[in-house]
Amino acid sequence: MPARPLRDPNLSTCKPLLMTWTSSTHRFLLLLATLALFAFAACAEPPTDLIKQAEDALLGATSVSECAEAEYREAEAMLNQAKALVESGDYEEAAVKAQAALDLARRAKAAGEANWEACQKAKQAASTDGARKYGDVLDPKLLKTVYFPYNEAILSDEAKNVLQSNADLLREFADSQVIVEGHCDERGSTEYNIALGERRSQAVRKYLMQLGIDGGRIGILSWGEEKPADAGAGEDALARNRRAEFRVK
Amino acid sequence: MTPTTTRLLKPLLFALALVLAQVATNPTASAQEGDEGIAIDIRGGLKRALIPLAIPPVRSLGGGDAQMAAEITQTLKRDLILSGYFNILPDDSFFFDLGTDGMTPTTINFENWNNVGASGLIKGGYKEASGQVVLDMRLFLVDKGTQINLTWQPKAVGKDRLRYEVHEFADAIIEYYTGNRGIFGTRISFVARTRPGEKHIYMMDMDGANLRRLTKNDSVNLLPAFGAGGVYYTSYKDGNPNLYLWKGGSEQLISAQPGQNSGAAFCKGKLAVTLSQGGSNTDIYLIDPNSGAVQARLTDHWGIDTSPTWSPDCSRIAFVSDRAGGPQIYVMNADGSDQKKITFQGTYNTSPDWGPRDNLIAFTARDERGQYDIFTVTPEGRIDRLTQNQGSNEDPSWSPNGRYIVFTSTRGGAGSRIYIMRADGVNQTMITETGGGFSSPTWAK
Repeated sequence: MPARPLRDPNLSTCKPLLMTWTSSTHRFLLLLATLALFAFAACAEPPTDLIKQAEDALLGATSVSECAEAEYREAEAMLNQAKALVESGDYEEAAVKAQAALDLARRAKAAGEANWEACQKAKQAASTDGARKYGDVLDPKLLKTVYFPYNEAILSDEAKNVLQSNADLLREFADSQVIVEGHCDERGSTEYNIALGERRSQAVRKYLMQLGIDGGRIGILSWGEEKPADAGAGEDALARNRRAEFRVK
Repeated sequence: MTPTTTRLLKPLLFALALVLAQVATNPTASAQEGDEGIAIDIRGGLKRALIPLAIPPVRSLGGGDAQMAAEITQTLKRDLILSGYFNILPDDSFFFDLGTDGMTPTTINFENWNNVGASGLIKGGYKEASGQVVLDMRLFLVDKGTQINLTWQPKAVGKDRLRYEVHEFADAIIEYYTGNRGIFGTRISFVARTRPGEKHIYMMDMDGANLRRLTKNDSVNLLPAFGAGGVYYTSYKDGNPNLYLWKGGSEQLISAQPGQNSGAAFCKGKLAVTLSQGGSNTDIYLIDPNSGAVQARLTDHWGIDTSPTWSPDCSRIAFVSDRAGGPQIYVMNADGSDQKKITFQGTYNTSPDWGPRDNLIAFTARDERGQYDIFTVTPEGRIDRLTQNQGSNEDPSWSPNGRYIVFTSTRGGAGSRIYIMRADGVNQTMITETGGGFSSPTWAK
């Protein structure tokens, strides 16, 4: 009886042992020995071919690796493990890992190619961000306006989100100073609206201070109803005027 | 019917027709239920008929010219129309020869005037020499055929004072018919938007004449108030809403605290203003009328306290506070003690002005449709409504005699314009002829 290989029959790197016959007893002993040998030994040969394939696949994925970073690194790690196993003589495990590395490398390439456009745009934005970080002045257009409900100076959740990103910018440009200008829509008393506009800019300033921005960097000014952003009379226009805007000093 | 009865009947019927015409254009006198949860009574013009007056063209008694004649006649007619008591008969209803009609009881044909429906007749002449003018104006009662002795007497005045002389005569006419002097020749200051982001302080006579601009910057100028011999106002010209005084043709900085410096109210040497002290809290303070130094803090509630207005004897102040939610009208003593709310309906009551008579505080109230109207309230909380269903009406200010209110209205669809009405809401008349975008009219008291 020929000894059967103890692993994936597709693996051609490991040849089955040649059987020599003798007597049935010898054969039995030889079988036991063979089995024992199989139980404890690896293949006689390292999975060189498989490792080469995995390496090639990884190389092929390198050009798009920055757009599929996680997958690429996983493939790379797997290949290194396979190589290490070859060094230590565990060819069987090495083959398994090498196969896995090959699969991962192929997957990384596919993912990188699919993501390419989106990932390039993000890179571009990130690189100009990086440019601003280095000593440029804070562009006031980056600081977003917050809006208020009718007759109120309370910050909505949306307003708070806007202020959180404004605070991030203020942290980044740690030297900048701003003035928060509060406004109202045109309805109601001129004088009461000056006070309401001030409450709005005050609410913004207090929230930014809660987020850790130094109050000394934030001035306030109310324009009441005097400087509408939208001269229309409909509800949408009025809503656009109930606001706190940022000006960089 | 006797001839006398016929003579009386015609002008009465005529007057009744005029009254009916007036009702068509004035707010109705019916009680309104439910606007603010209580029944509001609008006093209408039905109670008093307009007095028909004939004012034939004035004539020269020596010197002068057609332009002078026109100025006298037009000023007088406009004053008397604005007063809301008279119907001025049109010139083309005088179908008889005016040339033969004299200026004395014996030389005037009263029957003619009766026939055209006049109850009162004003005859006038003027004499001009070397830049001085003497007006000779007389009032006659048509049914009695007599001349009335007025509190006004002819005197010589410079040509440039001619209008004011006519105003004084008109005041005397009002005094005869109503028992109180008129308000002609008084001044009103207001704000006009000249272009987006720019507003200026103006001054004019209450009939719209002598219009001139006081502020000379390119910024936003707001909230004028007469006092200390000039006009206080708030301007953003230095980048912050600071308080200035325009006096004798020049501008003086009064208060430049960080934050709000606005709503100056002057009473016998005391100046109340709204300060926000850099936005920490908006409150009413007393400051020195010239140096702006803070003398006393009258409110310190965490809400917005603003828009002070003095009682006529300077002992109390009405103001706006939103300490109970939306802005409402409150009253306190001049030292800030005993603050109490006096408006209890609606969610937005602002812009109070304390009148010289009957402790009536005029203010602006927003109704449930978002329209603004003029109301009055007493310190005891009694409310009356003066405007309704005529656009948005805001910023009331009392005349010096407490019988008229100047305010802004958006009726007519041409933006916000300046109107005058009688204290009972009758005879709401536009006094700015052209333009729009007016606000904050204030009457020198």
